Amino acid sequence: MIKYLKKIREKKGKRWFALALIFALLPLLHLYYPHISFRLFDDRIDFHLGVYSLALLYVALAMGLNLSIGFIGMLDLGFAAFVGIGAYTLAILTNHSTLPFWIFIPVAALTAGFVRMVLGATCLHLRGDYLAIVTLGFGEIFVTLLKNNPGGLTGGPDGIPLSLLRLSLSDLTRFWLAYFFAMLAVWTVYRIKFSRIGRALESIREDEIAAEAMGIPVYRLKLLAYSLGGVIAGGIGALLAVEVGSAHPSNYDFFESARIVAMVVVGGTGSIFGSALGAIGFVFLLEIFRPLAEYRMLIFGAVMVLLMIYRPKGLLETERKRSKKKLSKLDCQK
Amino acid sequence: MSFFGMKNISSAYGKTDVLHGINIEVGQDEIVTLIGSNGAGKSTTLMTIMGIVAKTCGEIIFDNLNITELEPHEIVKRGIVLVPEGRRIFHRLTVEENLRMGAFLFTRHDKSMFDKAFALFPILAERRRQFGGTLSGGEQQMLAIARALMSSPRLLLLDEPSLGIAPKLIERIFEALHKIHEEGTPILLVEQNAKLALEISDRAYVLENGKILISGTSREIACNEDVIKAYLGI
Amino acid sequence: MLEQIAGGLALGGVYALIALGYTMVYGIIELINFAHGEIMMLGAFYVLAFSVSMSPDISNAFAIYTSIAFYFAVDSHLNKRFGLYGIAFAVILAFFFWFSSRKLFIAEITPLIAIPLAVIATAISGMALERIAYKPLRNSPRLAPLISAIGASLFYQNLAQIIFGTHRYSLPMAVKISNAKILGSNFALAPVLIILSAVVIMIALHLFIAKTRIGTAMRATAQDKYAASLMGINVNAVIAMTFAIGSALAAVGGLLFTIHQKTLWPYMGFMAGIKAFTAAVLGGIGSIPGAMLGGFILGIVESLGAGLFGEAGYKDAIAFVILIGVLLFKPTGILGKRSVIKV
Repeated sequence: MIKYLKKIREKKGKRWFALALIFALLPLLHLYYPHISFRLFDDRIDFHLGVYSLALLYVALAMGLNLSIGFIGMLDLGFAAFVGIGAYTLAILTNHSTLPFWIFIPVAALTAGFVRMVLGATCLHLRGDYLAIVTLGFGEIFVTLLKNNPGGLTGGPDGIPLSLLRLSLSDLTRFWLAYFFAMLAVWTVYRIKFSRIGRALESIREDEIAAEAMGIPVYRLKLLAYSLGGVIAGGIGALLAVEVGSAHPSNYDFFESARIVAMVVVGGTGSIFGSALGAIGFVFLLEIFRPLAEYRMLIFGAVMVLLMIYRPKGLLETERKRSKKKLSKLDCQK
Repeated sequence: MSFFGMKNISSAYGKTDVLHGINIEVGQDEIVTLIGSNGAGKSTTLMTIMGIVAKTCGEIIFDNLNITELEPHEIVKRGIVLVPEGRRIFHRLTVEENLRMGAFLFTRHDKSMFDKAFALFPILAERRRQFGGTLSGGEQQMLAIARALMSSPRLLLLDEPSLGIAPKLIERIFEALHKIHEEGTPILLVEQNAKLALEISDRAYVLENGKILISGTSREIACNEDVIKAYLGI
Repeated sequence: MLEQIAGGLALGGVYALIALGYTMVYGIIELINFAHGEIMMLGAFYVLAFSVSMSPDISNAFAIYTSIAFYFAVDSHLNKRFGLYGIAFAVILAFFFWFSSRKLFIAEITPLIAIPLAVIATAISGMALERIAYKPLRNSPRLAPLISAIGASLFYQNLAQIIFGTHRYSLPMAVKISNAKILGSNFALAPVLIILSAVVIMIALHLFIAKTRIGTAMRATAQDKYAASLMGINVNAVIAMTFAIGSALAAVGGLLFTIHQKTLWPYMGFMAGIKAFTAAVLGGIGSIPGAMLGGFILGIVESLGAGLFGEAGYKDAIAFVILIGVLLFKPTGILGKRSVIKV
């Protein structure tokens, strides 16, 4: 049985290795084909390093959100707000100091993590759909705050431009930054999932009361997973703002949250590899279908509905479930 | 051909089979009882008749009509009414509204139906403006039976009417059942209290593991040694 | 001050009407119908489409949408006899749009016809929404229908945007009403009209739910679906009807909201929907009088709050602060019942 487990692990490791390798080779591709472009509906679609880094950053964001949706079964509709907190922390700090920007990435991560911990501590006891609405409300309050420019910090509805910072870094640097942090996020979430804590979180998701009765510190673990999601959102949010070239209120509204939720859901809640693929697929497809404008979002809404009906566990089923099934079959044969 | 008959019915919750080829018949002037231990499939049988649990094979004929494929509300329309286990009265509706729901399919209200219900269980008349949830267990059971009678059913199914009710009230309820039967409504009764059930019924089926083990007149069953050992506790 | 309170009450009446839809649906299937705000937006656009002649493209697209929605609304919920009428109705509706777009019919039909037609068409959309996005998920874990609802919400927003474009429309009858004054005085007619119609509708709804046979059946279904089905109540039909009524109220809410805001646009449903949901939660979700109370309170607080802080920019945040506060400290709301966690 142990041998069997190892085999599964190896296989999974291979999957990740392949994905990581593909992305590591993308700069090479970039060297020969700096712009992969084609025509679609009379518009030019252009794939370049920026899109690849965007995909990587969204992979990391999907990891962060998966910590709450997939691991503890808490739908979060204000996740983009934490991305925004990271972005604005970085933007404000770099504008007010001369220190190199990368020092502020951990600061951004910790700020977002802290805010998320406070929010989680006050409302994680709420039932699933109520929590979803509270996070939605939080996100909207955040955006309203940004737009009103409290203390002249956030730059109001125009946001804070970061284009100078963006230009000071080459495309390749930004790509490797995104690559590094995405891998870090994936690795962290992966480690958690296959640890004691991960199993405890899974039992919480399945049956909170039973988990409590087993002596699992439900509240603390939920809070841990939830705040960790904030840390990831904050750090990645900072990078994302650099990549996009500004911290702008409309980048962190409900629709952004819904997009990240959709990435996780499409890939499969609780499945790390699935949500990573979901994020990559999303970014690429959104890029490809850019000329379709509103039709993109129309289809995207319809897909969310259809997925819930036909594949509620996502296009890839959760890994853990599948391996469990195989193991139990094996046990029966004994 | 009897008034009500289920032939070779099997049913399942999802992928778990519960009933395996059950045959039950109820005549037009009979009280038939189903006895069996916990988990034998008694309640499932009733829920299968009502179309709540999915059937995997077999057919149900009621008054020369095949009702196998009908939805619950359509089966009620045909005249089969179930008094569910645990009473399931509407807690936040008044007693009167509960009764009115029993007569939901009759768009025109018939006052005589209320009078009949109140004659059977006078206590309900006193409580008619109270919320169902404020009644005692026995009163709730009475309400549940009265509610089922509001649509003048042609076949009454009862699931554990004595469950969790004071002995004195059980007697009253069984008297009422007797009276309902006298007035011409056939009854299919599921009951844990086998002794009580066999006393009131004409015929009985013994159910175990989703199969019918023994069937016969109540007297025969009451004398069957296995039944005495297993269910009558002597 | 008086003007402000009147304005707040009017806005509150609109919120209350929309909140009723949230609360009724939550009461019966414990679902936060996230797309309800979009249904309200559709209602407003239906009024527009019925009362003003639109360009042929818009009319055709909207007619096609309506016919499809109608197909799903009648599909399997109602008996077959009704289905036939349904198809006939859809055809009539399609022709109606077509004619009105070409001014062959009547250039501008009176509100007396346009409003009921719009209400019916919106109710149909609500039923279709339930049939497609929620009915298949009735036994899934709680989050699945919520995600599906978000998907539906995005779908409708973008559908409206594709059909009508991003710009704001103005509705002639709404403009007329919002400019009118009460006879011989300086007081605006619109708030009075909005409050009056909202209150009348809410009283009618309350009587329907409390007194009629169908209303009692709805309450019974909300309490215990299994027992209700044993009474011969067609639970699926009752749920579909709940959506139809909620959506019809949302259509009226959408019209009143348009009168209040003087314009309508495809994204109007999102914010108004969430605020109406706040009103429902504030009053106690699942409780119909609660939704009315919550709506009026929220409307007044919002309009007074905006005046008090002097910064209109923070107005939208008020509702969310209330929402979070209520959910944290009294999740049952003002009139809600305590819900028991089932183990």
